[in-house]
Amino acid sequence: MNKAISILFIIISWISGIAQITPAEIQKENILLHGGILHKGDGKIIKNSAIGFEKGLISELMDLDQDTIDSSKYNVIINIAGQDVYPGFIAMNSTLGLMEIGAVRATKDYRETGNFNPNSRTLTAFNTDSRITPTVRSNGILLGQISPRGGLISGTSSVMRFDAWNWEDAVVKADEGIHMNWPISRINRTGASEAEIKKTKTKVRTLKVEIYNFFNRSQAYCEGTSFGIVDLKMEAMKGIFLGSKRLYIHANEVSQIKEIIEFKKEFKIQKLTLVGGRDAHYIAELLAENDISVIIKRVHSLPKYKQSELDISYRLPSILFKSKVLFCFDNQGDMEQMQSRNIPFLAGTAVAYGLPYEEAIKALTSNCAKILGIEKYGTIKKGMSATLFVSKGDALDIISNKLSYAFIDGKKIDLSNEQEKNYIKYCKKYGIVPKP
Amino acid sequence: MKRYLLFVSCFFVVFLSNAQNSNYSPHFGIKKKAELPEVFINGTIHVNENTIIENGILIVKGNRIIEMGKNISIPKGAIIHDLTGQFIYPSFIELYSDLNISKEKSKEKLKNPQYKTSKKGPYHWNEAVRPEYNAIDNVKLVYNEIETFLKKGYGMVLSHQKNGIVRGTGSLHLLGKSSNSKILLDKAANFYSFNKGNSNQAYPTSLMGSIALLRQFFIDSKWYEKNNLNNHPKINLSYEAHVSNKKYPNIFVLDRKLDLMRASKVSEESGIDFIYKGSGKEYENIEQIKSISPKLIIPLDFPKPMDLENPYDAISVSTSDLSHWKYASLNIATLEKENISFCITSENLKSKVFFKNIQESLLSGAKKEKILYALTELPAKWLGIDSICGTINKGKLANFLITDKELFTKDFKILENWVLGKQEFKSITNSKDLRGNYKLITGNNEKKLLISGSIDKPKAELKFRILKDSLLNGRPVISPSGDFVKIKSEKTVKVNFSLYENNVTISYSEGDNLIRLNGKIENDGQKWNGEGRDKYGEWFNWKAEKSKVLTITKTDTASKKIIKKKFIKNKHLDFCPSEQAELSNVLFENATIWTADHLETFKGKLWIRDGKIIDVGENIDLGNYNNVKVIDLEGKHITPGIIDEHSHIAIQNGVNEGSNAVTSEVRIGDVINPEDINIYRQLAGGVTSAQLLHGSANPIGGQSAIIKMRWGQTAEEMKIKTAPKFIKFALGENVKQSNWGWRYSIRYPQTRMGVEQIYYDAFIEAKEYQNKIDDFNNLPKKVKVKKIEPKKDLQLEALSEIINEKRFITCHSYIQSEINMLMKMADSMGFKINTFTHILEGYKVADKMKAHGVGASTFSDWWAYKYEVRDAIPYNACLLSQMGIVTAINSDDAEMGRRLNQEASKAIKYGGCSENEAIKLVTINPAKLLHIDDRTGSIKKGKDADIVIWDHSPLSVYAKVEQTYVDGRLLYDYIIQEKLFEENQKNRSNIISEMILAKKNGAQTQRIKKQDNKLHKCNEFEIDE
Repeated sequence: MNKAISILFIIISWISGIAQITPAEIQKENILLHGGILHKGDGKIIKNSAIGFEKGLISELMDLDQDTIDSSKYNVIINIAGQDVYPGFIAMNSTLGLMEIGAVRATKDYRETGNFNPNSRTLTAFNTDSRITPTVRSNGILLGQISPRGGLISGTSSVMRFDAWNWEDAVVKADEGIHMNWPISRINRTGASEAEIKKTKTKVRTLKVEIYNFFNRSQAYCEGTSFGIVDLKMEAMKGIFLGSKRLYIHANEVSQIKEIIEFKKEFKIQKLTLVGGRDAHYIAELLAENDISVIIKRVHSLPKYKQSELDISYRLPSILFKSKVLFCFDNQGDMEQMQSRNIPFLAGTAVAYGLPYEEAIKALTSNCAKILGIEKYGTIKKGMSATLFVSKGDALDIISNKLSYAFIDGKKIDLSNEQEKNYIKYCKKYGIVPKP
Repeated sequence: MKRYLLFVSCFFVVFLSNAQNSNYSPHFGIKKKAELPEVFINGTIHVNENTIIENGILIVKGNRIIEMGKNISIPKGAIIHDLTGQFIYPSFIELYSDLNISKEKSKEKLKNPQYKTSKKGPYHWNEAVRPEYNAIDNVKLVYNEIETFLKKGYGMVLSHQKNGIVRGTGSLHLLGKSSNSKILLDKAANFYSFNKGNSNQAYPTSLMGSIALLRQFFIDSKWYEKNNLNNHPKINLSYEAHVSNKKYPNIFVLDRKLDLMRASKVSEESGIDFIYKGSGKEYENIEQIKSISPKLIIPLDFPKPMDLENPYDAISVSTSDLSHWKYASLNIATLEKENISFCITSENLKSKVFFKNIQESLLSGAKKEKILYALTELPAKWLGIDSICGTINKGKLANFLITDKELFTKDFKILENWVLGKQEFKSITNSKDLRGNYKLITGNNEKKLLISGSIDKPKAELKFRILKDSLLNGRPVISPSGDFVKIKSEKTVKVNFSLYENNVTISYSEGDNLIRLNGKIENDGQKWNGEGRDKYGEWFNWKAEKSKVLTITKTDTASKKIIKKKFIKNKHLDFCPSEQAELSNVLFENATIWTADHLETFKGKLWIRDGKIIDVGENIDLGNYNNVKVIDLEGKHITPGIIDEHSHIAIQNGVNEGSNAVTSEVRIGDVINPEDINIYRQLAGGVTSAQLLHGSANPIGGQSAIIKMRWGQTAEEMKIKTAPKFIKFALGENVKQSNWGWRYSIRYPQTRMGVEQIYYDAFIEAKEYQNKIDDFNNLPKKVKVKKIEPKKDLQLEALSEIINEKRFITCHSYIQSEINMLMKMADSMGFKINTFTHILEGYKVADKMKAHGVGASTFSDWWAYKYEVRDAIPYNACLLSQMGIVTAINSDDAEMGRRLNQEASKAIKYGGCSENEAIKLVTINPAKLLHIDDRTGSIKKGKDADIVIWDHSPLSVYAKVEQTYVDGRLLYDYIIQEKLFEENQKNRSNIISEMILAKKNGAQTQRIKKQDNKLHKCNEFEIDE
C-alpha cells in the first residue's frame, strides 16, 4: 500500500509539471500510521507505534508492542514499519518567505529602515508561494518562526505553517515575539584611530541608552490606560511587559550577554530568549539561572577565534544541554533561506559531538514550541496537532532523511518541489531513470 | 625654498668642500668669519663598533675630521672641549624615513572606479608605478621632526615618499637646524613596496596584483633599456628614469612578515638585489629567511602590552599578537645569531622608546657592537658612502655624538650631536641629579625640601612643622593652665619649582604668606643659596643644603640580567606543533577501507610507509619489515584524503584582483598564507589537498595554487610540485558586476555579450603574441642578434599556455548559455575547458559538456542566493556523474570545506548516487580534475599516503575525523589536537599574566587588538565606520 501511494504520488507530480505546489486539502479521512518508530519530541521513543489522527488532531497513540489497535475506524491506514516518525521540525528565527533571491533587492522583505521597528510584522509580508519553502519542508521542516532582521528592534515575528494559500491560512501564532539586536562595537580592527574608537564607543553607549529609554517609555505606556492616541510602536511593545510576547535578543559575545541579563532584571522581562549565543558556553550556568533560552547560532560555523577549540560550534548544543539551558537551533547567516533545509543536519552534527539524539529532536520540536508558546505543536501526543512526518530513515542524517509522508494539521502535503521537477525533466531528456 | 647642494649625485667619490665657500646665496650682514678648529680631548672615542681609543683627541675643522688619535698635537687657536668621562661615537644613519619630504595625502574617493591612470604624459600606465618621482623635488623641512632625529643620535636620514609600488628615488639628508637643507646625495636609493599607496586607479586591488605589476614592470624596464634607449624613438619618462637610476641601491619596503619571501622571489626573477625593510617578526620564520640571506632594515617598534585584566577581553586577542609582545625583542639577537646583515630603523619611534627597545634587545642577547654597526657603518656601506662617513676617522665627515655614558647603557644620554662639524644638538636638560632631601633655611626658619621625580624633570615638595591645636573628639584640648594645648605637626606643601641651568626659582605658601625664592645652585649641586621675598615685600637670604641621597626604589632595567627567552618555532600559531611529524610506518587492520578505486569499499588492511601507500588489501605481506606499527581499526573507516577543488583559504590580502577584466598575470601561488588556521581546520575535516583559487571578479582571473595541507610548513612547501598549472575564469553576474553596487557600472563587460567578446579578444591577442615569440625563436642566430626580441608579457604568456594546453581552466559558471558559449569559444581557439566549477546549470547541458570533455565541480545544494542560480538543483552532481562527466563537490567556503564528506552524502539523498560514487565526488574525482590523481585521491598502491580515519561511515552526519595523514605524516589527530589546545591555552594565559604584570609595573598599554577573521560573518548589530 505504501508503495502504491508513493508511486501514485510521483505520477501526480509528473502530471502537474512545473506548476506551483498546491496546498493540501483539509483532513477529511481518518488516518492511521502503523508500525513506525516514533520520536515523540519530548525525549521519548516508541519503537513500534500506531498514530491515529482525525480532523487535524492526534486522536490515538499506541505502543504496538504493548497493545493492539482497533483499526476499523480508520479509512486510510498507512503501513510505515521500520520508518521514523517525528513531530514537524520548526525553523526558528527564519526569514523563509521574506526573501526569494539574495542578490535581488526587490525580493527582500526582512529589514525595515530605522532602528526601532517593533511594529513591523513579518506576518503580512510572509510569502506562502515562495519557491524555496517546498524544498525545505520536503526535509521535514513544517513550521517556522518568521523573523525580521536589522536595526536595534527589528520587528515582530509570527509562527507560520509551511503549507497554505495565504498568510491568514498559514499563521499558527501571530505576533508572538519581538526581535532585538544588542549593540556592540567592533571597530577594534587594526588601523582605526583612537578618535574613531572613542566615537564608536560613545555611539554604542548612546544606542544602549536609547534602548533603555525606549523600554522605559514602552513600560510606562503599557501601564497607562488611555492616551487618546494609539502609538503603534508602544502598542507593539505591550506584550513584552504583559508576558504575552517573547523578547528575542540577538547577541553573541559574553559582554553583550551579561548586559542582557541585567537588562532582563531591570525591566522584569518574563520571556527572554537569546539568539546566537556564540560565546554562551562561557556562561551557560548563568543563562540557566536567569531562565534565558538560547537559539544557538548556526552549528555549521567556524570558531570565532583562531585559538578556539576546532569543534566548539559543533559542541555548543551539548554544552548548553549539560548546563540545563533550554535551546534550539538557529540557521541565520549566509543563504539562510535555502539553507533552512539543512537544519536537521545541524542537529545531526550536534549529535555527533555529544548531544543525545532525542534531545536533538526536542531541540527541533518541543523546545521550539515551548519557546514559541504553541502548545498544540512540537510533540506527538493525543490531542496535539497532527503535524508530523515520516522518514524512511534517521531524519538527522543526510543519507537517510527521505520523507515518505508529511502532515500539517492532518493535511497530507505535497513533498515535491520545483527542483525535483526540473530534475525529472532533464532525466527524461537524457533518458535517465530519476531517483527523486 | 633656499637649498644648496653640498654635493650632488656622485656615487663613489664624494667630496665636500667647505660649506661656507660653496654657498650660492648672497651674504647678509658681515661676511667674514674665522673657521677655528674644534678639539675634543680626554673623551673615549668609539671609532667604529670595535675600535675604542681612550683619552683620544678628535680635531674637527670645517665639516671634516682632520685628525683623530691619541698622540696628536693640538693646534694653536683651537676651541678645546674637555670630554673627561664622556664618549664619542659616529652618528647614526636612518634608511627608512620620509623626513624632510612633503607627504602626499590620500586622494578623494571617486564616483566611479578609475581604471586608467589620471597622470597625464608619457609615464607608466599605472599610477602606483612612478620611478620618475624624486624625493629631492619635494623637500619640506619640519624642524621639530629634524630635532627628534638629532635627539635620537642621527646625523643623516635617507628620505623617500612613502607612496606607491615603485616609489622613485630617495635623497640623503644631513640633519641641521639651519634653514638650509643639506643634502649629501640627491638620489641615494630606489624604493619599492607592495602597497599601492594613494593611487585611485583600480589595479591592483590585491597583494598578488601588486606582485604581478612589479614583475612586469621590471621585465618592461629591462626590455626598454635594451631596445628603446637606442632603437626606438618613443620615450617613456618612467622607464627612462628607472633605467638611469639603476645604479642606486634598491630598497624594498615590506610590512607583512611573509612578504619578505615574496619580494625575494621578485628579486630572483628580476636580478635586482634588494635591501628589505622588514616587519620586525623575522625571528618567527628565521629558518626560511636564512635561506635567502637578505639585507634587512629592521624596525624596533615593539608592541606595548594590552589591557587584558578582563578575561573575556583576552579571548579576542590573537596568539600571534600575544606572542610577538613577548618575543619581539629577540629579533635582533636572532638575526645576529644567523649572521644576517641588518640595519635598524627607528622611524616613528621617540628617542626614549627607541633606546628602551635597544636595551631590551641587548637584554635578549643582542650585542651592542652589532647594533652600533647597524646604525652607522653598515648603512653607510649600503649607500656606498662609507668612505666619508659611518666611522670616526681622519678625513671623514664630522658627524658624531657625545654621550655621558657608554652608548645604550642604562640612563645614558646623548649630550651633543655634531653634524658636519657643527653642534646641531645639545642636551639642555639638567643633567645634575638634584634629587634628595635638603635643609632649607629661610631667615630663621628651617624646613625640609624634598626633590623627587626624574633627573630631567625634578619635582619639589616642602615639609615644615607647625603648631596646631590638639583636638579630642573635635574639640580643642585645654591644659590645666587654661591654654589651648598645641602639638607639633608636619605639613606638606606643594612647591612651584623651576630650574634654568644653575638658576633656581621656588615659590610656596606658608600660611597666608606667599614666599618666593631665587638663587643659584653650586657646581656640585649640594648647596643652593640666594635671596627671597615674602608677601609683604620683605627681602631675606636663604640657603639649602643636601642632607642625604634619595634612594631610587623604581626597578632598575640595567640591573636585569640577560633574559633567557627562547622562541620555539610555530609558537605564535595556534594548534601548530614546533616539529614536523615523522613519516609513519603503519599497518592498519580491520578497517572498512573506502578506496575510491576499483577495489571499492571493503574490510581489510592498509600499509603506509615512507609517505606512500605500500599496499592495500585483505591480506598484506609485510615481508622483512618487522618494525611496522600495527593499529587495529575495528569499527573504523579509512578514506583517501578529501580534495577540495574550490577553496579560498590560506590566501593573503585579496582573493580577487578585482580590477581589470583580464588578470591572468596574477598568481595565488605568490600569496599563500601558510599560517592560516583554516588549513588545520580543513585537516580536522579530513581535507588533505585543495586548489586555492582566485575569486570570480573577472572573466579571466588569476592563476591558482594546488596545495596539500602541510600544516606547519612554508608556503612553497605546501604546493604540490608536480601539479599542473591552473587558472580561474568566471562567467555571469560576478564578472558583469551585477551585484557590486551602482559605482561599478562602467567596466567592460556589463553583459554576457561582452563576456564572450573579452575571451575572443584575449585569446586572439595571445595567439598573436605566441606567433611573434615563435617567429623570433625560429630566426637564425645571426639574424636574431639584430632583431628586437619581443617583450615578455606575463598576462599573454599565461593565456598562451592555455592555448598550448600547458595550463588548465577552472571556470566559475552557472547559466547554461554561458557554459555553452565558453565551450564553443574554446573549441574555436583549439583548446578545451578543463573544469566548470559551481556549474549549477550543468545538468541542462550535460550532453554538451560530455561532448567537450569538460569536468564539473559543483555545490551539493546551494541555490537562490542570486538570480542566476534560481534553477540550481541539488540533483546536479548525481546527474552529471550519471552522464559520465567527472564530477566533484567543492566547498568555496572554509566551514563547509571541513564537512565535505557530508556534502558528498547529499548526492545520495538527491539523485540516489551509490555510496562509492558519492565518496569519489570528494576524493578521486577532484584529483582527476586537478590532474593529481597519479599521486593522491584514492587508496591505491604507490600513491601518496594521504588518508583519513573516521569513527563512522564517512558519509554519515555522525562521522568524525580521528586522524588525517598527509604524505604519510600524521598531521591531525583528535587526541593530539586536544593537547595542542590545552598547551596553547596555557601559553596564552602565561603571556597574558606577564602582560598584566608589565602593566602593574608601569608599562604603557595599548588598546586591545581584536583578531580579524574576515571569513566569519557576524549578524550582530555592528557599528563600523
